[in-house]
Order: sequence, then structure tokens, then C-alpha cells
Amino acid sequence: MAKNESNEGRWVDERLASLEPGAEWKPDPERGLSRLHDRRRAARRHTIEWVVAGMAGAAACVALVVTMSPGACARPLGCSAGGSHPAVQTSPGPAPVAPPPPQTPAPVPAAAVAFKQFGLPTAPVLCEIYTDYECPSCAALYRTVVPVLMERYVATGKVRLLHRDFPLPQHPYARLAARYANAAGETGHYEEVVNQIFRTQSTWASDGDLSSQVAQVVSPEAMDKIRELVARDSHLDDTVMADMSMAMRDQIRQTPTLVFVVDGKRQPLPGLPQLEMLETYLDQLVASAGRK
Amino acid sequence: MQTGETSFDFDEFFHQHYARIARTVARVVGDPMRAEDLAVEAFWKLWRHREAHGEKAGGWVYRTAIRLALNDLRGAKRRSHYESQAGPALVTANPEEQRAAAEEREQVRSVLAAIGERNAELLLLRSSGLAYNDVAAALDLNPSSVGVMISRAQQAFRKEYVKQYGEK
Repeated sequence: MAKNESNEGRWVDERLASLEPGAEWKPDPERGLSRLHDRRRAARRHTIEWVVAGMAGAAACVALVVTMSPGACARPLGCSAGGSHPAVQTSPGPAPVAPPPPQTPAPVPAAAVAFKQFGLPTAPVLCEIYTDYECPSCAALYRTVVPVLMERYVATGKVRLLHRDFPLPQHPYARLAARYANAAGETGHYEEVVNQIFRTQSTWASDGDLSSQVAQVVSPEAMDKIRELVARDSHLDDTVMADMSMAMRDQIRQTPTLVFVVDGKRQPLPGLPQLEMLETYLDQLVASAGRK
Repeated sequence: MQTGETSFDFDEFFHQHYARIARTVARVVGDPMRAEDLAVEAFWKLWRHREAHGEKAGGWVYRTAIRLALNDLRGAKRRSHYESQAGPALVTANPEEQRAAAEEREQVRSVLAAIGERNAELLLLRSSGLAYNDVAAALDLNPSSVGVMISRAQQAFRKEYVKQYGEK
């Protein structure tokens, strides 16, 4: 019985051996891996296109909802600009609901003060971040995404970061928070104060007491100077107005919105991005910069 | 490329297994170019199936590659197309030997396509040089029963072969 099985096994093995490809054929792992990498890149590109399109679509939906109920703040994606923003001179007709095109020619950039910029001027990609200090998604962006961008892209010279203020009308203390941040910028404490304002958002958003929160991260002398600027400097809002003007040209409809500037093209990405997706997107932008 | 939170090095894994898997697939589909296509496809599926990354990746990608190959084999039109091409092992044989060998390969593949996926998987994995334990891991089987299952697969192969082409 066992011998029969053994013979049968050998008989089958002989038949299967006829399938053996010739020894002269050598599968090429390098070519195979290259094809696999190409496929992976294509798939990621495809996914990103869908995500960007989806986010733009979602932003359009949020804008539509907000237009119908002014003052609302859609937290999962971000906060949307209502139709009654005092600083944004919208047309008197119905608010447009179509999302901005995924890629638009660059308008002339509004002047940005130096303290709102981070990174090398030679970085191939500029990332402009429109935020409202009272927007929960903006706080989440600064808590989870911006530190990674700073470490992996800004510090390595790949990306230059620019903060742009976009205080929304439904947030009563957002403009005051921007004044504190910009006053801190004038005294050389912009980054730590911006982070502190976002970090303590839930505390000061109830009563507007930004002073006591900002005082925790700067010296008493610096705090005195900041308070003085917030109280008396009539030019402190100039940078905010410049950012709002730029937001108009970028057709920003919600916060946060990231605008990527590569080779003169501006590509807005509305909402709070998923970090992994953002990194993939940035890697592609950095790789493609200068090729066109 | 490193994947996920584990230390699984996908590129290194690819280099270790690609050639062997491509050759295993080539046994089924006959055409080297098609075999490389299917091997890349199997690795692509592995890349996307992160849960399989790690120590079970080898078995997973072998099983996937063979299933892709068997599915491909079932396309009769493609199979006849492949067989119209000269097999790389036969370049030194005379025309009659080439014809006979091509006929033999056609018959073996036809039998493999007819004996059920599990039986074909067992025979192909075993004949590609995998040990019983590796075959068991690839097909998620109890290692102690693999020997019996391979034996049954061999019986099924011979029975089907005789049924289709008679005793040789």
C-alpha cells in the first residue's frame, strides 16, 4: 500500500516536473519591484485625488449648510465662513456653494510678516495655513498635524509654512486671539503664543480671557508689552486684514484650509487633513516641484 | 519600504521570494512574462493586505500567487496562446520532442485545473520545493495532516489524468 502511494507520488512528481521553466529564465526582482512601486504610487495618487475631491465636496456641503444656518460651526471638518463675515466683502447675492477648483493660478500673494513664516525661503513648497483661533479643528490641526509638518518638512527644508489669520464672524474672540498672537509676534514670541492659544482654546473661548493664558508662556516683561500692543496698536490688525484679503482671492470658505503653493500654482485643501494622507501628498508635491 | 508599525521590510521580502514565486507561477501558466505579471500581482495584494505582513507573509503570498495562477489557467484561450510559444526548457529539443513536451504540459495543466483548487495548491506548493510545514502554513492547514492531504491530491491527480488521457 505504502509502496503504491510512493510510486503514485513519484509518477505525479514526474508529470509536474514537466512544467518546470528552463533554468536560463531568471525572473528579474528589480524590474518586478519597480513595477510594484509604480503601481503603489499610482494607487496613492488616485486615492489622494479622491480624498481631495471628497474634501472639497464635503466643504461645499458644509458651506451650503452654513449658508442656510449662519453661525454654525461644523466641527468634524472645520469651521465655515458664513455669509455675514464683516471683513470679507461678499457679493449681495446668494453665497456660492461650489468648491474652489483643486488647482488655481496664483493670485499675487498678500504681504506676510516675517514672524508668521517658518522655514527656508528656498523650500520647494509653500504651505499657507488659514486658521481661526476659536475653531476646534484648527486647534486639532495645530495639536496633531503642524508639529509633524514642522519636524519632517519645515526643519528639513522641504516646506515653508505661513500662518494666515481667518477669524470667522461666529467666533466672538477669534479676532482678539489673533491680536494677541500678532502682538506676540511683534515681541518675538509668535510660535509659543500661537500654540498656547490653540492649546487653551476651550478655556478662554468661554470668556475671552486670553491674557491669563498667554501670560503662562512668556515672561512678565514680554506680557506687559503684548498687553500694551493689544490695547493700543492700531496697526496690529493690518496683517489680519492682509490675510483676509488673500483668503478672498483664494476663495477660502472654511477653517482650517491649507493652501499649497508649488511652481506658482495654488492648491487649496479645505478641512482638517488626515496626517498620513497629507504626508503622502506633500511628498508628491516636493518631488514634483520644479519639474514643470 | 517599511510597512505599518511592524519591522516588516517589504522590499527585502520581495527580493527573497520573488524569483521563486514567479517560477512557481510559471509552472502553472507557462508563459514567463505572464508569470511575472501574476507574481507582481500577488505581491501587490500582499502590500495592500497589511494584516498578512510579518512571519506569515511567505505562506500568504505563495497561496495568493498560486490561486492567481490557477484562475489564469482556467482561461482556455489564454492557455492555448501560451502553449503556442516555445517553452524555455525546450530550446535544445528537436521539433518532435518539443511537440510531445508541449502536449505533456498542456495535459498536466488541464488536470491541475480539473482536480479542485485545494488539491492543485497542495501539489504545486509541494512540487515547488516547500516543506510540509511551509505548505501547511501557506494553506493554513494542520501540519500533521498535510502528508495525507498531499497523498490524496496525488491520487486525485492520477485518477483525473487517467480519466482524460488514459494510462501512460
